[in-house]
Amino acid sequence: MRLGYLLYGMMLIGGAGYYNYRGMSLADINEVRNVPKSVRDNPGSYRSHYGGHSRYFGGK
Amino acid sequence: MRTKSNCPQCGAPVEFQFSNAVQTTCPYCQSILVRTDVDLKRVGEMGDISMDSSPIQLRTEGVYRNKAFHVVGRIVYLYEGGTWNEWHLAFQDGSSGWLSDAQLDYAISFIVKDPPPLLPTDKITRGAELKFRDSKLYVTTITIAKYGGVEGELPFEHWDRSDSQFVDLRSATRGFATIDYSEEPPMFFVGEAVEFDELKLRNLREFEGW
Amino acid sequence: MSHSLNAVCPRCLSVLDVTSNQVQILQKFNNKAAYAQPLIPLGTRGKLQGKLFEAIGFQVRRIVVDATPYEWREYLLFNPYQGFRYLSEYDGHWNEIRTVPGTPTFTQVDGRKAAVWLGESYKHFQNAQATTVFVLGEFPFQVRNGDVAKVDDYISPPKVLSSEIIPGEINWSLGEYRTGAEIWQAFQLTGAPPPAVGVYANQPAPPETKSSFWTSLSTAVVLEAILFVVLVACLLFMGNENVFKQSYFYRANTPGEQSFVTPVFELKGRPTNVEVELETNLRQNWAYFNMALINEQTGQAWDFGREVSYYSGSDWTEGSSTDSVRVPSVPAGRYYLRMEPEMEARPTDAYTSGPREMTYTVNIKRDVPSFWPIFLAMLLVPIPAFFTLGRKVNFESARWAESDYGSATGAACSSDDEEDDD
Repeated sequence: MRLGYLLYGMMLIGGAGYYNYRGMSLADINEVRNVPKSVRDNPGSYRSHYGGHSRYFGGK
Repeated sequence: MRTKSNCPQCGAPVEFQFSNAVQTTCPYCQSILVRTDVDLKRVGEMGDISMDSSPIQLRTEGVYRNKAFHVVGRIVYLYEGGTWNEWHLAFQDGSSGWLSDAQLDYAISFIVKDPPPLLPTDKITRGAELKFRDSKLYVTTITIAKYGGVEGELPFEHWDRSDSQFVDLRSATRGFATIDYSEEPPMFFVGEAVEFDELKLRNLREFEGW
Repeated sequence: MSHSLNAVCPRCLSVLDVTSNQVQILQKFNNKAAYAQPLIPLGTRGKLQGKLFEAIGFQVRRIVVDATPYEWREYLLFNPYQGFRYLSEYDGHWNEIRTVPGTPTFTQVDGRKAAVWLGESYKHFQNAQATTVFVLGEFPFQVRNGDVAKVDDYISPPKVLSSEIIPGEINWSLGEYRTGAEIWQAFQLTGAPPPAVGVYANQPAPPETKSSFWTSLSTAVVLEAILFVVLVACLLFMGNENVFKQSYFYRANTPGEQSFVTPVFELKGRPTNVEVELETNLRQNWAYFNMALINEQTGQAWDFGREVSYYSGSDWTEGSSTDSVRVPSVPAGRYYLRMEPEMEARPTDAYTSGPREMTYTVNIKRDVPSFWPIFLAMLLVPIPAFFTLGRKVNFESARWAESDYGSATGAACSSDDEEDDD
């Protein structure tokens, strides 16, 4: 009984600790590979993989 | 110290086991005998003690608070609700005490030489408090009883069959006391309730099937 | 048994007085059919604490509460040396009872009347008037149908201290809870004991409910303490370093490429988060920021977009002029941020009245602690302890619901639990 509780607690603690150790995040981030070095000189050539902009998201 | 004598009624040898005994009973003819120095005087009959089946008997041995005793006498009292026994105990060190057996509830008590002031028979009530030494005792039962019978050696003379009042007191920690109004001044005994096993009794009466 | 005062003729069930030489009939029964049968047949012998006892008497007694009758059964047990014991049974709950050779005193515990015997306190549970409705067998005292006694029960689970008052006498007795299985085992009875229904006055709380509550509580405390240490460790050991900060200006409708890249900055250490914070001067306005954190050497990028909007009125605000986002598990290396802001060329609604330009600051940090998982864990940790508390409280509520006091007892903090051994 107590062992089960300790395991449950350790998992929560481990989770919170691991989250911070690995610097995790819930943000909506896309990972992209092989961005060419040319983007440094020509930022406009980068094609964002992120969609859904140019739209008003606010309420009311 | 044992002393030997002869029963004035039937001539049988009578031996006193307990030096403080004032009276005893003849085991052969059931006479109650009172000691007057060397001679014995017959004063009455033992009475019917068979109606009470206490497991204790004369010559039962036991231990109370590391002091060994053996049973030398008995009084059976009769009251409205039945009977109870007062067993007279002779301790190793020569002192005497009492083991009461009332429906197999046991208590050991000893006479108090200088009793505290005691309420007279008509003034005492159930629940009344009595402080004695360090304990508080409360009156639990007031009983009118008389001798049903006697057996063996007792430290006082008593063969009167008339009614007397007996008052039991108890404390919140197994303390026990009793006031015997059969004499003037009343006698006061103090002690405690005990468990059967505590007394390590030997040489008990045997019951068929047990 | 020559102690008997009463005997009951098993044939006609008349109650007999055996004190005098002639047996007197104390009470006659018209109805000869037995009202109840003892579950332990009279004459059966059983062992209690290693001592042999014989069942010699039986009675059924009744109390009436809220016009509802409740009956229980009592068995008188006898041993010629050890004396008398009683067994009571109600709804499958048993008690082994002895007379108390003393006078308990009274006190108050948690505002409730309690009786004290041999230094132990027993809380008052119930007061009732008990009537004998059936008698069988031998008794060392007078027992007749119709006999009434005022009974008070005081509990200290698993024990119960009871007083019985009849005219002229108060008798105290002490009982200890027994299960039907224990009684059946003691008397070697066949069949099954009656099942126990509900929670009885002095029934001990099952060990799982009591001890588990305290171990759960202590476990929860230990876990919370560890979480607190984790919190402090995050504060002490996570770098929370500033790696880049720069302010920029943007105006919509400017021709030409609006995207740009920041200078390269270095991230040192283990892979951890990178926080990109934007502080803007937006008011009644919104803007969209397309961003990518790009590793100069490996070409790996983390691509994300953030909208920042802020509106306000005389008594309200909506949104925020700042924003922050965490990029997870970014390995060490040389990085730059590609930024492409956007604003509406012309507002398409009535609220966006701010100018078509903004200034904003990009503030980049590394290894920023996230507290919400720790706080969430702190909230989740005690939940199992609440379940065990709930179970314990339920048991005690069920116990006291049967008393004179309903369930309003403050059962969770009652002192009778602390008296139990752990």
